[in-house]
Amino acid sequence: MSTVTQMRTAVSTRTKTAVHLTDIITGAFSAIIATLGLSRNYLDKYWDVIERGLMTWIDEGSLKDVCLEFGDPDNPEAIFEIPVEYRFTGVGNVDFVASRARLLRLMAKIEKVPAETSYRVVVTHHGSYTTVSGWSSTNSANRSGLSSYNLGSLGAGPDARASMNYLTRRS
Amino acid sequence: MSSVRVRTIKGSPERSASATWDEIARMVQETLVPAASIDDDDVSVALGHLAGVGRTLIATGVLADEPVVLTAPPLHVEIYVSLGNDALKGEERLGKVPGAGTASEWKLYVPDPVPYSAQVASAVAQHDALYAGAAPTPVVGAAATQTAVSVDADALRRISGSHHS
Repeated sequence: MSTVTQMRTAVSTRTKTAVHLTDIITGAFSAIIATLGLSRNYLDKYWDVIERGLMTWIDEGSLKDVCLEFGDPDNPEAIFEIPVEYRFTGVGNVDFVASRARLLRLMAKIEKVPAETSYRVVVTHHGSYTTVSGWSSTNSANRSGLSSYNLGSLGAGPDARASMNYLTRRS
Repeated sequence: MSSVRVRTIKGSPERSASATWDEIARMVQETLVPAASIDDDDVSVALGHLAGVGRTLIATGVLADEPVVLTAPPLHVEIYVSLGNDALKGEERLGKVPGAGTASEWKLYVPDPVPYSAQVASAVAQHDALYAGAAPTPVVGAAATQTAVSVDADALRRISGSHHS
């Protein structure tokens, strides 16, 4: 009986962690795009697809990282990379934390990109993963010549946590 | 008599930003249904213009601190979204907020903090009932018979507790 209860708790917190981190990630992308003064058309058009994909893949533990890439993938202006780390205990501290205010303060430090710069969301996975409609295969942007800065934690749930790296041409 | 109501909808981890926005939209729509002179289709069109920026204001945590405000005199409804551990606490009241049956007009005020000001301005510009920024404080009449303000239990709970994520 107690085993059944524990399993239900684990499933519940894993799904809640997926919703929580997805919210934090889409919120971070929204903040970045607003800070850069870019059109939110892409984000609006694909919000449901992005949300559904991230929730599915975090829930199953297959999402390795999700990137917001700006400009030509062969020669990008900047990349925001969000690695996701998992804890498979299912009995961890049931605490959902976010660093939204801190992220907003960091936005003051990011480099502007040219107006009308295009952007896209790209994910990578650990091993096999569930296919989610609306997503298609592509190659990650070329990172040569970019400097990487660790911007720290974005947030965490009982079963996973997300942080952010900022890759820019600023030296 | 002005009627001030406060509702707090649970966001993540209970709901995604999209599902939370859907609850906000449903609350506004169902609240205005009893108002015979307000066109339900017009309300739906207005809310459709806010879907994109609404999800952003939820996911970025803005609505945890600043409410979307529906005014349909005499009703004034402040809608917040709780996030993180706060969203796991207590009960929530979804759907119709009573008190708009006699309303002949409605307005929806959407918070517009930096860096989202331009996006909110662009969204609210698409419908006359949408406004950017804080709503005016509900008007309370001078005469004693006109100064009664009803505040619901959610409002009192909000005053006594934190609503930060």
